[in-house]
Amino acid sequence: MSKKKIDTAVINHDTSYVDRKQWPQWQRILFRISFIFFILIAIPNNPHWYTHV
Amino acid sequence: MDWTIYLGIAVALALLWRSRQPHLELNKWYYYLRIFSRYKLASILLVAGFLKVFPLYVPEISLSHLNTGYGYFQHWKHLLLSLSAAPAYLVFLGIVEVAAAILLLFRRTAFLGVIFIIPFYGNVFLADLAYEGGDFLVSTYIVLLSLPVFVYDLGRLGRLIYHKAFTQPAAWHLEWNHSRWKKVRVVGKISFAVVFFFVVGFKSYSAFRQQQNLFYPQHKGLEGIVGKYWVKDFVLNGDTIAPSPFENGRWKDVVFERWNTLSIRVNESIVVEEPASRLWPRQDSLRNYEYTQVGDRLYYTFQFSEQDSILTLANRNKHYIAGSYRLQLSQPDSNAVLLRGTNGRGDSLQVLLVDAKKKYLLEEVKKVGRRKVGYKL
Repeated sequence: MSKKKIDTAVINHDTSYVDRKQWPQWQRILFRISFIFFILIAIPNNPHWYTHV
Repeated sequence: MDWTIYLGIAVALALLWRSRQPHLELNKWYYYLRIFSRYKLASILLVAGFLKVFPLYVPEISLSHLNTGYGYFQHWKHLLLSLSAAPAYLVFLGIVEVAAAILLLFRRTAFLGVIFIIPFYGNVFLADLAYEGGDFLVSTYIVLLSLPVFVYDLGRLGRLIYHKAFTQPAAWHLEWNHSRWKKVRVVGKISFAVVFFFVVGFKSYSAFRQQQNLFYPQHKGLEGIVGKYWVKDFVLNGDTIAPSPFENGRWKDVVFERWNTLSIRVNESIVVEEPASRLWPRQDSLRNYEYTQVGDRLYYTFQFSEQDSILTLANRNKHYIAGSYRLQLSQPDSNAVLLRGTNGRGDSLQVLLVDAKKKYLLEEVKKVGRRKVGYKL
């Protein structure tokens, strides 16, 4: 029981360690591009959309 | 094209962001991105899903379409007609979409939702291509939006399915209880549920109950005159024209819809209009479903003046904008309609129509149930 608790605590709180371990440089750059790209395509930018609502 | 521009903007902003904030807690930001795309996807799927659960997504087949040769429809119209003829299939598609949307709303089941969506919309994409629909970018967009959630668990799926190795589910999540966004999150979730389940669900349901449709005009047709009519007599400028496969000016048959549309089958090839409106317009004048992507008949919208029984017809196809009629309507008996007047060029016209009393298999089947009709191959 106590062992399980320690496991999740490591995963949840030591994120900077996990980050550096899991994300190579190219993924870090790709992620930033994708993040902005997905937000741009998801928000309607046509004024007609807002009048149609 | 738009997406390429967005990608360019995204690259530029990403570089700027990187120079301003070189160290980022990426797990957290990826978590935010997944929440964003999950809810965006769920909102699209709920609207699309409810329009199919209450089958409004395609309309019932109109009488004019039931009196049009199969080969006169463009491919995309064939797909829509098949869906119209089988609303139960549409309901099934709607249930899949709503179920996938519900799965997306929970972090633990989101991947399962995406596993439904990718083949589902992949299939929609192929149908769009095969039936020459213009909307294939919509299905591409939905699959694209599902990628952040899909890619997150893809490695684990591969490990489990391909390597058959013991795989732990993703455990990283934000501790909302310690976050100052805790309240915003609860309010956001509740408002999302209210808008997309109750408002969208109820609006779709009430439109379905009131037998509204999103495609045909809403203005009522003529009282007591609905259905297919044969053209018994056709007199143009005083000359009676007999039915003939070589005579172009003569009408072959006329269909009066339940709404203010009249369609005429003629002996000439028709320049078909491509669909203009993708969204479902509310104004009758913009609802062009019935006369686009289909030939064989000319479609007129009509106005009827009760006082002097004048029927004014205007062709809605933009290639026939000059086609109009002004006709006096009378009923010599309950099965016949007599139209007298002039066309747009000033030629005089007298047409006697007789009710074809046509029975439609789709309606006959509804009366007794499909099972009782029986099948014989």
